[in-house]
Amino acid sequence: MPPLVVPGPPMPEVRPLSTVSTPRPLDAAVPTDRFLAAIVESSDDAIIGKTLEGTITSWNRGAEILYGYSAEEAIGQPISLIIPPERPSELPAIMERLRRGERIDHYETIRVRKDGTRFDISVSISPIRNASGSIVGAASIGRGITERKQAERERRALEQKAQQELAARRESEERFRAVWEATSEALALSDPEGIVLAVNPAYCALYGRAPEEVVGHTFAVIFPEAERAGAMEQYRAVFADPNPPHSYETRVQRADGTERVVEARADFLVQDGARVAMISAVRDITERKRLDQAHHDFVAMISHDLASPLTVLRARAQLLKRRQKYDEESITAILEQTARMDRLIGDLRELAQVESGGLSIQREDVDLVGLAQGAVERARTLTTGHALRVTEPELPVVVTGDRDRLGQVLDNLLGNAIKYSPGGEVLVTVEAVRGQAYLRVADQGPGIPADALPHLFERFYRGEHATGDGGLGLGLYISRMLVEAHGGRIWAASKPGSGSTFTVMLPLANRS
Amino acid sequence: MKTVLVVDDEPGLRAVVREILDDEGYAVLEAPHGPAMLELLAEEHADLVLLDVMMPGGDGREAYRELRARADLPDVPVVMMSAAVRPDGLDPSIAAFLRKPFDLDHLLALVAGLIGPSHVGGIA
Repeated sequence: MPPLVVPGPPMPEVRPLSTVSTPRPLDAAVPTDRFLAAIVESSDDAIIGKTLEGTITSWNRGAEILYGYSAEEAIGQPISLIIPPERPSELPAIMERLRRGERIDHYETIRVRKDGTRFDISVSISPIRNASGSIVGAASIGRGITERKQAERERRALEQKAQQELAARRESEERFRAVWEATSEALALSDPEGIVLAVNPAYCALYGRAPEEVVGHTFAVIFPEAERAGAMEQYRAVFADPNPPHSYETRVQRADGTERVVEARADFLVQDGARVAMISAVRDITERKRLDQAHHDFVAMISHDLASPLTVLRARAQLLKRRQKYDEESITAILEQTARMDRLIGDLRELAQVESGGLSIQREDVDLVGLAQGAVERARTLTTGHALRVTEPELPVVVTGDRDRLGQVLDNLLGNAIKYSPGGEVLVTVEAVRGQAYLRVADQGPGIPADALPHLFERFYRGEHATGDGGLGLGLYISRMLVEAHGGRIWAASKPGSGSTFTVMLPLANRS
Repeated sequence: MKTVLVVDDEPGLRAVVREILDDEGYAVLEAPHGPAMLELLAEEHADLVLLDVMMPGGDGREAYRELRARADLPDVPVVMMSAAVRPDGLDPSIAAFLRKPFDLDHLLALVAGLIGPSHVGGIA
């Protein structure tokens, strides 16, 4: 069926026929009623009259075409004829408004044709008053708007689709943003000239700069001023290189001037076959480098420390052979050096044990006062130049732990105190404070520089003043592992020039 | 009599080298680290220095650089010793490198090669 009505401009307001003020006749020969009837008849709009009870009283040609009923078929029928049964409440509501004398303008709804098909319609309904002004019926002018509605529906569907796409894109963007923001790897996007387009929070944290200090500026601000030009040149070279290095290490500078070693990987954003931006993923490897270096130094130190006694042993043995006679001094040196190697290997064994977690702790009640006295007695054999003293509390200070292991910690601390102080007093104090036992070893040596204090208990740390007396410098590290295996802590305090104090804190044994 | 200065942080090493060289008629001086070596060379004559590379309290390479930089100290030949195969940063102007542990014969041959037997110019 061809479209019945072409969507047009909004319909003119329609006044009920009976109340229309008499227009000036265009042609005096044509009476007004017939003139109006002709307009009604020729209108493409469906114009329908009905009583307040809803009985159809007039039905123009436009209505015949729109609804498919002839005037004969429609007149006298209830208006519900053209109202879809699935909209039962619509008619009473309309009739109610008409009875109140209200007009209904451009009301968009659905109507049903004779063949049962539904279509969209825009309808204006006005009450009809008789000569005395009482409402006696209604006139409705309807225009099919199926096409307009269809277009609207299509437009809405398009809009919805666009919105869905937008939402999907936004969601995907948000997901990427979440990853971008949450990753611990510092990420930056920069254009071919090295201007930073975007950075993530990890990047800002790494360089200690706010996003606005970075975005829109050259990436080279992460280098010391003198190196920036070179960095730019290198950047352009990497950008142009068809096979750029997968990753590279470099030294950078934070906003506060401190240096970091980073490992950076570069990837490219490619559009239409051309690189438009570089994606840099940067990782701070300063700490890893430091540990690598410490490990390297440790291995070098072990080989040095093992080679030292070996050198003496070999030389002594060759000297004996050359002299062909008993030589007390050489024999003594050989025995000393083998004992030293034994200590080194013992240290390494101990290290392997604490590192692998294979440390076995025999737990029993240990009185730290008795333990300290025993350790001081052992330490007295190491020195004649120091006064060793234990200050005791009135009550025993008891912890649950391994007597031998804790004794080993004390031996180590006392040994260090003797080794690193030229003489004077070495004082051991034991006290119990708020559920914790404190064991302190204080010397009157030259003290430890402040910058060395935090590293004393690290695995591969060896101070500037360490001597090649046979140990691997692992004593404090091993002590720390032993104390921590007891649920305790160990630390050092020192003021250069006025000695050092090493403190072991252990939880007191539960005493009922 | 030729004099050899042994610079090493390890007293046991200094002692055995002293005995080896002493047996051959060399005079031996000892220093436990670089700064002590420089101090000693300012006052005493030495024909050769055996200088350890890895010493706590002063790297042997630094001590060597300082020795060469100081005009008031003699231009004495220096043999550097280390347990490393050949440590980085050795100055090419050193007289020789001696790896630890070393053979007694090798040490004596090296010393004799550099400054001659102990008696030359000394007690016959």
